[in-house]
Amino acid sequence: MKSMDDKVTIAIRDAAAEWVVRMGATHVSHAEKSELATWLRRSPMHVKEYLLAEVQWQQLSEVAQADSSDVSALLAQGESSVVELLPERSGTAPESAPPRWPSVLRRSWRIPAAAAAVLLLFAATHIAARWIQRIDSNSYTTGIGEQRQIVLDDGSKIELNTRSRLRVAFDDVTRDVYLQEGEAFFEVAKDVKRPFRVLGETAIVRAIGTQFNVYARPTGTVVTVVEGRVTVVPVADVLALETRPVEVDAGSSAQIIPSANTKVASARVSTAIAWRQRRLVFEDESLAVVASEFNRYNTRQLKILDAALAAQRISGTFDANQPNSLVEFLTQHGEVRAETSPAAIVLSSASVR
Amino acid sequence: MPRADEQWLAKLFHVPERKLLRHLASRLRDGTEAEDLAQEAYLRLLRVDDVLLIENPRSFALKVATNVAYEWGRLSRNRRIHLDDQILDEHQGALPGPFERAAHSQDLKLLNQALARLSPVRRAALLLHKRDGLTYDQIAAHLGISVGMVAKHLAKGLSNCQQFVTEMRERQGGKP
Repeated sequence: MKSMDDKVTIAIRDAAAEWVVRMGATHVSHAEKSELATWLRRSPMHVKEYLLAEVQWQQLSEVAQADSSDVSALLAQGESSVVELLPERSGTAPESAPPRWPSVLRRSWRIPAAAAAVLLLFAATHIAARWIQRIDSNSYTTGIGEQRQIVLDDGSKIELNTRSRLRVAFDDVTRDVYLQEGEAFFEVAKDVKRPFRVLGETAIVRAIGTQFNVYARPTGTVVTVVEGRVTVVPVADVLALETRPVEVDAGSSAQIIPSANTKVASARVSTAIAWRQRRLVFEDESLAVVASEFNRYNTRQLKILDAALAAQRISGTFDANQPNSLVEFLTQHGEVRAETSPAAIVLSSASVR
Repeated sequence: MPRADEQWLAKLFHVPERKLLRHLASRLRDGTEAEDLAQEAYLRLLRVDDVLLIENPRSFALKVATNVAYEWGRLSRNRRIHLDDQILDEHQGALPGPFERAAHSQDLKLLNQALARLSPVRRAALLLHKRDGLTYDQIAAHLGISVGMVAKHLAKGLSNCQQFVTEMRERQGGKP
């Protein structure tokens, strides 16, 4: 005879197995994922059985590889000769739906009731809203030298810089923009109820109504705030579950580099967003950095042959689409040689060779 | 084609899944430890950013639980410093040592028995998916049943195996 506890455990085990199978399908809907998230957050027992089921599902792959049984022979046996592995459970335990609040029945899980109630309420209200499918979902890209402006449903504006990619995913609860590559300037329309988030590979930026620039460099993300205030969370923190949001005010910029502390410093904002006028502004920047900035905008790539030249520092304002203006600037005193071909402009110190 | 945000999330979890699950398996064998680990993972899941969790609950659950397991591995190393190094490595999940390998093959042996005891249809569905690599749709076509029924057979097969393994372990462990 099964005790009440056992019945609950078995029902949860069944539900966990169903979740594992559903997550293993070719297509998993947003609603299903959201439902699983809710279910997992309902009880530690759910988490336990889910983990066990995932582990077992993986081990089944190994065991099945070694099982040489013929499937058609198995099917020919039919269901008539079925001997249940374990006695079927009485009809009280639901087959597909997990019981509503099984955690309450288990004394061994020590969650203060009040805290649990608050969490459940929070989860319930939040998740209920999430049930509504995402309404607006669009991707935008720019090629080399291309820039474009996007006006979103909520009135927010995005300016997308050269060689960039982003995806907009708005729903009733959040305004999410996935910055997959490149740089964008955001002018966020105020909506206190729906925070605006930019999700990059190394950082997540949250704002309510403000203007800021996000540049996803290969080495990290630079967030510069023009107006208002944003909150920045390094993705590394999210994974470590230690979110320490950093606030960045107008006139400042934050540098988020994986495996380093986030640095916030006052910034020359006009420099950070000069690209909107197709201008590149450099202040005591190495030629290596200058060249790579130009190369974001032009198919004719700048190449620097020697390290000494790459390390040389320059200041100046240039037209992003005119690498020639930089070349003229560099070669005017005869210290730098330039060789131009359709694909590249190769720079070298005149003293070399 | 996977959605852009899924690609973004996939990048966050670059641990090979097989390795991750194998490590988890070693930490979940003991019932009490499994409960403690699940309790801690549960509390952390409550703290995970909502949107991120909803986008990929499976990956987050596995990742969070593995993090807990690794952290506890480190703890046990500090506490049980007198233990043999090899056992400690196994606790850390760094390398599967002889103890872990034996436990793993014991897992598979039990699971093999469980699979053999399944109803033919459930076993067939599992073999078609896990051994022959058929998708749920393909299995449905093969067996002439709905995709929903396929999922049901697979899930029932899995939970039956789970039930069998748990009961066998309890019997072996001498627990009530």
